[in-house]
Amino acid sequence: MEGTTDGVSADLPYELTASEALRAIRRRTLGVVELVRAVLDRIDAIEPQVRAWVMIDRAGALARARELERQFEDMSARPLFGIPVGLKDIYDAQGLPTTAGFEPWKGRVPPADATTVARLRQAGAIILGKTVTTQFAFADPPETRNPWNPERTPGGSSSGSAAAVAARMIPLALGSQTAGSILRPAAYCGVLGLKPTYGLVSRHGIVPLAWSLDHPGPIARSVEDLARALGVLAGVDPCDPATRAARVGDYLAAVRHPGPPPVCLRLDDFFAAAEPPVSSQVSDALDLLARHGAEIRHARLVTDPRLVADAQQTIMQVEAAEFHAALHAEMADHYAPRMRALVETGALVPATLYVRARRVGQRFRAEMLALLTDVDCLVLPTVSNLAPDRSTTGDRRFQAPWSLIGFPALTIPVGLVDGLPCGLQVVAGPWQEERLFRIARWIERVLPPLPTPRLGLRGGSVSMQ
Amino acid sequence: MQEPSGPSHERAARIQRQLALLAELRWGAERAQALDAELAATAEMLGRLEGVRLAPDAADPFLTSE
Repeated sequence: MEGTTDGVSADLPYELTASEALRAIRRRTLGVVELVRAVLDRIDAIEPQVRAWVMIDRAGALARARELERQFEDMSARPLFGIPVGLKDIYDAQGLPTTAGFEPWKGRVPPADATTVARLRQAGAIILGKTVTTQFAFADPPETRNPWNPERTPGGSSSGSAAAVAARMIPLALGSQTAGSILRPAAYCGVLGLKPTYGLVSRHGIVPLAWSLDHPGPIARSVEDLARALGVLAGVDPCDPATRAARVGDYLAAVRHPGPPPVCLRLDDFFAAAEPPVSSQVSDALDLLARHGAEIRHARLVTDPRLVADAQQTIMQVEAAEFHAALHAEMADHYAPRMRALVETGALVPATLYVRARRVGQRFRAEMLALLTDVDCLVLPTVSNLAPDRSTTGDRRFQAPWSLIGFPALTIPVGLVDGLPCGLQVVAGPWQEERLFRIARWIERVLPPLPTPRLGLRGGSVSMQ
Repeated sequence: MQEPSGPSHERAARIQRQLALLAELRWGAERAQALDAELAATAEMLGRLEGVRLAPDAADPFLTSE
């Protein structure tokens, strides 16, 4: 097997990003079947340590890979040709069960694809299987381990998607975020994640948690892969009214032309609230960006960040309670403890305070729009802390504000602290994903990349590198 | 247990009593008791939200807390 022009040996195809794999497939130095077999072998070898998957559609993926190899001439029209993708287990994929981590749904096989899944297939992606989600995409800790340290949480709720991408089981996966469920696990696992503008990506065929806060989005190992995925996923969907106003850009073009160093507004409140090692690591990364020409300005928030978190939590509680009312009435005992408490307390919240929470969100949105008028983006640590132990899925306070107001946010790794990854969060205005990708690509070129996590099996016999 | 002090704590304490009553009516005494910690956390959060003073027109950016 030849090396690729991306400088990555295709002897280890599972190490390739989606875009690197595509270029190798186009040059015919890598076959689609070969790529799928490589990731399946990788999964076989390390899944017992990571526990990222609910199910793998081995036969379906290989059959699709063979079919695509016969359609090589169509490759140029398919931006994810032959790329294996993992789906968080709340996305419907025809013929595969969607369990949402809820035991009574183990045999629940949807008759059709979610809009996003149909778009992935049309773009040539291969649906490899379903990744672990916390129950109903909330906060009960999953079985999945953090590939950097099996005693730590990978974060949630897109736990399996982030861990699988970090562990090189898959180059690309889909997650979803209602509070912080894409960006937090991506940061804890040392990979990249994007929460797009609310309404840019369809939610049709995805199990909801809170309808006005739910955002589907990709997790990957490069900015180019996030842009490539969003280009496939984004757009108006008649089945999701929230997408009516979707404004789709040319995201790959944005990545190819990263542009000048950005003007970044550092949100000092979040740095002050972060644990010192995290604050220090992200500040050092910003210093490095500044030495390369970025302008870093500072801002303090007018709205108390705690109120913003309260507003997001209140809306999530009430909307989850409303969605789950019928199912909870029949099957409360099957609910995981935190999810059950969310539904049961959410049903008691006064309507006036739900409306108050929405108004606080509007106020915060106006404040953030004003801050963004003179700068390219806002920057803050993705999470307040390093991945904690597995009794929790981590702290959502730094991601939830952007879910509340629907602005696009992206996390990019900035290094390791005590062997655990740390992320920088970049936020842009609504529908500004092209700008966000230009900035993120510029940052990616300045910051040193993280290595592949060492996966040492504790108490076992297999060690992966 | 520390006695609540100040308007914010008073609001939280009042809301917690309301939520506890509602929980008992809705989910039964046993379940309401099991939810005690979650109800307290929710009441604290709702107390803060209730204390927010928003201008009558939500489009007006004026907002104060307490």
